Amino acid sequence: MTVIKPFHLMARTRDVLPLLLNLPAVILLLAFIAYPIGISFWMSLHRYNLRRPDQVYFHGLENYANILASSEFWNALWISLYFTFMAVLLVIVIAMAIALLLHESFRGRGVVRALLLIPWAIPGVVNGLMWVGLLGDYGAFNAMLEDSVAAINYLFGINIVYTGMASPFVALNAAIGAHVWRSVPFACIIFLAAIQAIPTEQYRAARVDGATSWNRFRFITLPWLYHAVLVVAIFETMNGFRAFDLIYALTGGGPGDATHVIAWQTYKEAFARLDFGGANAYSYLITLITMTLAIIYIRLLYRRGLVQG
Amino acid sequence: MWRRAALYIYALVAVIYLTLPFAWVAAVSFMPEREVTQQRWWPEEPTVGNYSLYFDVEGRSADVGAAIARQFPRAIFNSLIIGTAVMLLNLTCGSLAAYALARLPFRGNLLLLLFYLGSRSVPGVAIMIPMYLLMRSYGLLDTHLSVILSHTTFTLPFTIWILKGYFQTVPLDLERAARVDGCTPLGALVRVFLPVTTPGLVAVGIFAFIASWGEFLFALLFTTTIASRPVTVLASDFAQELQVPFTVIAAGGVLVILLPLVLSFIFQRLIIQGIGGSVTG
Repeated sequence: MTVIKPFHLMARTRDVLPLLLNLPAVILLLAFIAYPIGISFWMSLHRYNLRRPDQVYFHGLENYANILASSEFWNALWISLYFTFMAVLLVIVIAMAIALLLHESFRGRGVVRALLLIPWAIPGVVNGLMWVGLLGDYGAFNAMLEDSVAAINYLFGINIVYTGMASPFVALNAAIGAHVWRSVPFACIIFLAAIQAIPTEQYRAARVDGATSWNRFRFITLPWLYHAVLVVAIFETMNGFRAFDLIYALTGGGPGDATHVIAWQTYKEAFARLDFGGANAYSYLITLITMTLAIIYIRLLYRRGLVQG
Repeated sequence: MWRRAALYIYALVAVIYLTLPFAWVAAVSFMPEREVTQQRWWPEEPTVGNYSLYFDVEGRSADVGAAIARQFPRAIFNSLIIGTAVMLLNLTCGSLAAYALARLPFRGNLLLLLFYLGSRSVPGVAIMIPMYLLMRSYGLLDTHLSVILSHTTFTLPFTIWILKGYFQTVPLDLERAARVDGCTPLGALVRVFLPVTTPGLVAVGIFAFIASWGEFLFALLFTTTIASRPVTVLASDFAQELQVPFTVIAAGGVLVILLPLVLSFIFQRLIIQGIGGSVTG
């Protein structure tokens, strides 16, 4: 059989059609992502405060120097790192647990699978408002937390005072919990697809060899899921550093500066202080951090030979 | 036997985790105001009073939060327009680009792919100021178009990535046959390819729609009046108003969530297969 070459186009025009097909997408992304990024960098090198629009001038890396010298930045960075690390970890563990469940066959699996998408369908802001209610003074979860703190106090004869969302520790971890809850479904979908792609003969062979179910998970399932775990880790790291709408609705950055994640800090810098120069320097630093992390992850994927270049 | 029982308990815990927060809010939305303060899980005397605030604009204009609530129908309409436009733009630009990447070998395809992946990793806050200034200079502030354009650019890289993976699963023979029958490449795309890949297209379309419906930062920045404000921004106004009873906020939350929830139920299978298959494939 003769191999038919891809479409009867001449060699010179062969590259033109695919590029044409990509043109609309490329134009959109150039105009609304690449160009703004460039402008953002240019602005970050300027003194540019909307309160003093007549005093816009170039002053090199001074915005960056100011940020790196400010305690607010380091505080926000640590909060974001803690937030993101915990979020990635919890999302992977919980999503994996649910994906493994959905891979089993049992009656009602279809129902669980349908319910899986509920948290994902809820907009971030509404999710924030929801948890305001759940964790507020009259909230159902707040009551449960109060009761469990009281029980712990009673059991151990200690006296922890529970102040709800007024406590920085509770507020930050509640924000993480709410963020994780909404992020689980997407990660779960990816894990589920990856689990279903594992050849079943491997499990059969392992069972013949008498492997325990933990060992089957450890030596067959986990290695096969390496790729999916990394993909989820990339997505969730980016999402963690971006967390904004949830914070906006749930804590407003408070109490104090307990939930000043870096995206929130950037927003405040720009639209409360109207310091566009400083805020752009902030956003550049966020971009650098997430890109660095993304490159580390992608290198990990390459090393395993899971991405073909 | 014990294994079976453990499995069902496991499933029950998962269901509770996934549904309880939303179920409580849905229950609260049917409670009279005083019942919330009693930390109840279920309305004792269910009422639709919290919802009527959103629809009976004339009768309840004196209630706290009525000023926000009366704008809800219009905000839902705005979200619908924006979401639909974002979905259509994603499908047209996305399928063209993904088809080229999946099927037509050309120089620079890896570069393009990296460009798409790179733009996907740019966080929204990183470009919010230039985007704001850009929209202002084009006079697009407080229009649907500004929100549509920003949402499209955010969802497009993901759409292309997913569709490329999905398109690669379609057997090549199909297009060979079409081409032997004298189809042009574009003709093959429209007449043979798109019909076969409808499930994938529906999945990414719904995905883009729901992402747009839920997006907040750019909608907040670009819209100032109800002429263009989508529901997420309107809902966030409640976060600023301290006196609005939570029962009313809960009803509003349910109204905002309703459409994406119904869509995700209807297209559940397509979304799970479409997204899962192409991300890991």
